[in-house]
This record gives sequence, C-alpha cells and structure tokens, in this order.
Amino acid sequence: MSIHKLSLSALQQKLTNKEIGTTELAKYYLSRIDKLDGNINSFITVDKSSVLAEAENAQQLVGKFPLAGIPVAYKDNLCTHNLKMTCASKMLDNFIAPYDATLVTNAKAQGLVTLGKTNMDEFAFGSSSENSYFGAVKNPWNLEKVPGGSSGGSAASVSAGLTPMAIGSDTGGSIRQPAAFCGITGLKPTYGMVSRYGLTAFASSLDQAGPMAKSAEDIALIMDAIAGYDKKDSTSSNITKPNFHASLKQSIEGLKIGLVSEFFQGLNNAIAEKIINLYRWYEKQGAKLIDINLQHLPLAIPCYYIIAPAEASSNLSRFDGVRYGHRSERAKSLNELYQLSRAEGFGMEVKRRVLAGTYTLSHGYYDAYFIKAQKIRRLIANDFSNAFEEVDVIISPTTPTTAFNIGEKKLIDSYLADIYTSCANLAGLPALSMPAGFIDSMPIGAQLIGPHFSDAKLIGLCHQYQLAHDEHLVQPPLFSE
Amino acid sequence: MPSVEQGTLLKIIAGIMNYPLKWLIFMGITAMSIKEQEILDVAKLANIHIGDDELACFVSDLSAILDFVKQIQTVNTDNVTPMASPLNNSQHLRTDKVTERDCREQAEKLSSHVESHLYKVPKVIESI
Repeated sequence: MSIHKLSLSALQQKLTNKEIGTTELAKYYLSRIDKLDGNINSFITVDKSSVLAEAENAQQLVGKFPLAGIPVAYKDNLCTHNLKMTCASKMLDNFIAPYDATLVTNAKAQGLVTLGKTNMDEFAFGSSSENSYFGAVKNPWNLEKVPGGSSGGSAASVSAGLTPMAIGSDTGGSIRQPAAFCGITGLKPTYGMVSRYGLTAFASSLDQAGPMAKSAEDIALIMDAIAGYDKKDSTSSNITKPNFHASLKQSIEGLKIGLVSEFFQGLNNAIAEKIINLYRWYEKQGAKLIDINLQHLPLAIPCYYIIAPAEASSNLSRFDGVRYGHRSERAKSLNELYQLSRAEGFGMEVKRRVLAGTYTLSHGYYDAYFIKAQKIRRLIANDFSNAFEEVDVIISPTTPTTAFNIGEKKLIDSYLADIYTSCANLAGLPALSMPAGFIDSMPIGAQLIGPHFSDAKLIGLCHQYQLAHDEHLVQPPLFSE
Repeated sequence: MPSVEQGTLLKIIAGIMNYPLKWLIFMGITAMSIKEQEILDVAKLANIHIGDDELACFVSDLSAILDFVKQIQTVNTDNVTPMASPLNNSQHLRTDKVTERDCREQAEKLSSHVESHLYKVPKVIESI
C-alpha cells in the first residue's frame, strides 16, 4: 500500500518496526510535493534541508512519542522558527519567523517533522484560498474548483496525500469548510484549548488553531501532541488536558443529538439527504434525535462580519512598514510610509475588511455596529448554552454546497460560505467537520458541534462513524497513486 | 402522530422545498450606504492609501457589506450584555519577573533599515 494512504497510527507502526526511517519518510513526502504540488499550489514554503535535518533528529524520538518522525504541514500564519511566514501576503513576503508558535514547540518536542508552510487566503481573510499573494489553491478533487478556505492549502495538501497531517486555523469556519470541500476531517477546538501564541492574529476572540487529517483517530493523535495550557497565551484555558486518543471509544447509546431546522433552510437537497442519512445511522446505534431551536442563528454571519473585521482592523495595525514587513520605497514622510506600505502590502480583501472594521469601530458607529454585534453574539451563545442543556451534540451540514468554481463567488456570496460554521466561533465551541459522502464526485462534510471542552467527545463520535464507513478513506483519483 | 424527530425532518424537507431561503433576502439591497468622502476618512484612520482607481470599488463593496450586516438592527438587545470573549476566564496574572530572553538582535534582522539599534524612517521634524 502507498505510504500516503496510511493513517498516522499505521505510519507510527512502520517507524517503530523500523520498516521505514524518519528521513526516508520525509523524502517520500518531499518527492510527492515536488511531483504533484504544481497542480494544486498548496505549499508556499518547503525548505528541504531543514525538513531533512528535523527528520534525522526525530529518529531518536521514535517509540517515545506517538507521532515522532511523522511530517506535519503548518498553515502559513503560524510561526515556525527560521522559516518564512508570509500569511500569503506581499506584506510578509520576506518575514522570517523569529520563534516557534507554542503548538509548533509542542509538536517539535514530540518529534513531528515540519514539512512546510501551506497556502491560504491572505491573513486568513476568505473562504476559498483564492485571496493569496502566491496564487489560488486548487481542489484535489477537481482542479477547476476551490479547496475552501482560509486553510485551503492545509486541506488540499492532506487530501492529495502531500502530507499526512496539517494544522489550520479557524476564525469563522476556516478549518471545517475546507475540510468539507476536500473530503478530510478537521477540528476547530474549543477556544482556549490550543495555544494561539505564534498564530498571527486575525480576530483574537474568534481565532483557534486546530488539526486537519484523514480521520478522527488522526485528529485525536494530533490534539494529544499540540493541545494544552500555555502561559504565553492569556486566553489559554488552564484545564486538565484530556487524553484524546483514549477517548475515541464513545458510546452512542442514549446520545442526544440536536436537530436544528435553521441549518437546513435553503440547503442543497442532495446534501440534506446525506446529513439525514447520518442522523439515521446514529439513531440506529441508539442515539435520540431532539428538535432544538437556535433562534438567533440566522444572525451569526452578519454578526461575524462586524466583529471579525473590527478585531482584524485593530490587529493588522501592527503592519506599518517600520520594523518588519513590506516598506514602501515611495514614501517621503512618516505618514506616507504607513499609508503606502499598507496600500502596497495588503491585497484587496484585506483592505476591504480593515476599512469595514475601522468604519464600525469609528465614532458614531461603534454602538450601532460593534456593540450591537457583541450583544447579538451573547444571544447566539445563550441559544447554544440552552440547547446543550437538552442535547449532547448538534449535527448539521458543514457547508450549504459542495466546492464552487474558482472565480465564481463574489464578496457577500463568498461570505455566506461560512453560514453554518461561524456560529461556533462566536460561541467559542468545539466543532468538527467529517466526510459524509459525495455529490457529483465532490465531497461534502457534516459538522458536529458540542459544548465547551467536549472536543474529545466530538472526535470519538466521529471515530465511531468512521469505523463503520469508508468515505474518509477515499482519495482524489488524480492523487491516489 | 409523528414523533418529535420525524416532525423535525419534515420541517427540514419543507425548508428545502421553500428555497430560496430567508437568509438571503437581504442580498437584493443595492443602494450605496457609504459615500466616497467617508471611505477616504476611514482610509485615513486605517492608514491605508486609496488610489483614485480603487475608490469606486471600495464604495460599492463597503456599501454591500454594511447593507448586509444591517439586519442585526432588527433584533431587540435591550438589557443584553455585550460579549467580548467566548469564555469567562479571568485574566491570567504572573509575578513581575522577566522570563523572556532578549531577542532584539534577531528582531532587528527583520528590517534592512536599522542603524545603531534604531529604525530609520523618513524625516519627521523639518530642519530650520
């Protein structure tokens, strides 16, 4: 069997049994990237010498940590020491990260090998991975279609078997939506479960880094490696870290699944049928379906598109062309240096959101937009709290459609790609997208949302489904060999 | 009599049949709700130079965004406390002790405009 089809446990087994060495494994993936990434443009940076050096060092950790010696790709908004971190922006085209993000530190300490940095929407602003200074990412299932975004490079590289696992970040659906479009499994952990230190801030109260891989079991192993309290992140939660892999065995008997009709309005018929089939499977295993109401859910997207740009406009004020990042050569005064560096360094979608955020935070509009949105956010979070008094998990589609064509969606249309996902970020809840079948040869995803810190349970429930099904094992024909 | 879950599934199917969905009604709004001068004012606040060729595009796009998000105004939020963060964690505190190493030199390598540990910028104070 080809190595890129193996699960992380199977790779671990091969390394432990010395059927393959860590350097050989790294070379295998480097060669696949060389040969195949030209088709999908999923990587921005791959530094072969540092990959091979890390792989060689990791050999001594094999057997000590479950994922030692296995390559991982990081979204290019995560700092990895001495490697370029561009956020897919001209602004950071030459930025070399001076330190590791905490989740990278955790991964390196356990011998995971940094394979490269993946392409994305610029500064994670987007749902298609078309807004990249380095060109659009393509969907491995159909090269005419988007892979979703903003973690499109991470999703596409896992789907195409160019890396066994990847890390993405999710501010409004940026792990789950591309996971659904590319037919892989992705988890947005509970806010505070994985450190944000070293993750370039987009919207600080919504951002969360998390794993993307072929299966729930792989996701559990990655969470065991990267999650946990971090004193460098003031929003990190100081809770006892669960053993994710040991929690894979979850009983479905008596599980209460919430059904929310708002999630189905306007949904593609064929996707609705697949999700209903999923409900029926869980029901057959002993779960109960319960009708619940999330009355403010339809306001999640407008609420998100006030809060996220507002926070982004503040976070991105650090890019001023003075200490790092793009500096304009045309500036004749200090103000011009700021204004021209930002005008030249940022792409259109970044400027659009920074302007929108500045507008809603400005005098006269602050209460009407930003404070109002924060109040709606509270109502949405309260809806979920009430729902989780009655149910253990909510299952919904991840996206309203399968992957759309490159260049097809404009502005507000593209914002609606996150229509089912942004609510989990607003409420800080864990949410997982799992493969749930195919429509016209394109994958679709189902979303599991749980109460705060139920991440391990969500992964386990997904694992139980995947033990009985094989949608998650099907690979894109163009990349299966 | 249908069970609760069957009732929900029927509602879901009814929702699908009633396409186009309610959520998208607002997309029909086309009026420009922001003016050119407001874009220029906001751009000044955001420290981003807007070229003449970009202005019309930003007027149209920001108007679309503002029209889109306006629907939140329809909900009564009297007595609702704004939510700034999803978890109610108290701020972490630590003893006032330096724990980080000095990485000034490494940070300075990120700019080609450093001299004597100072960052050079265009002249701010005019000479007399």
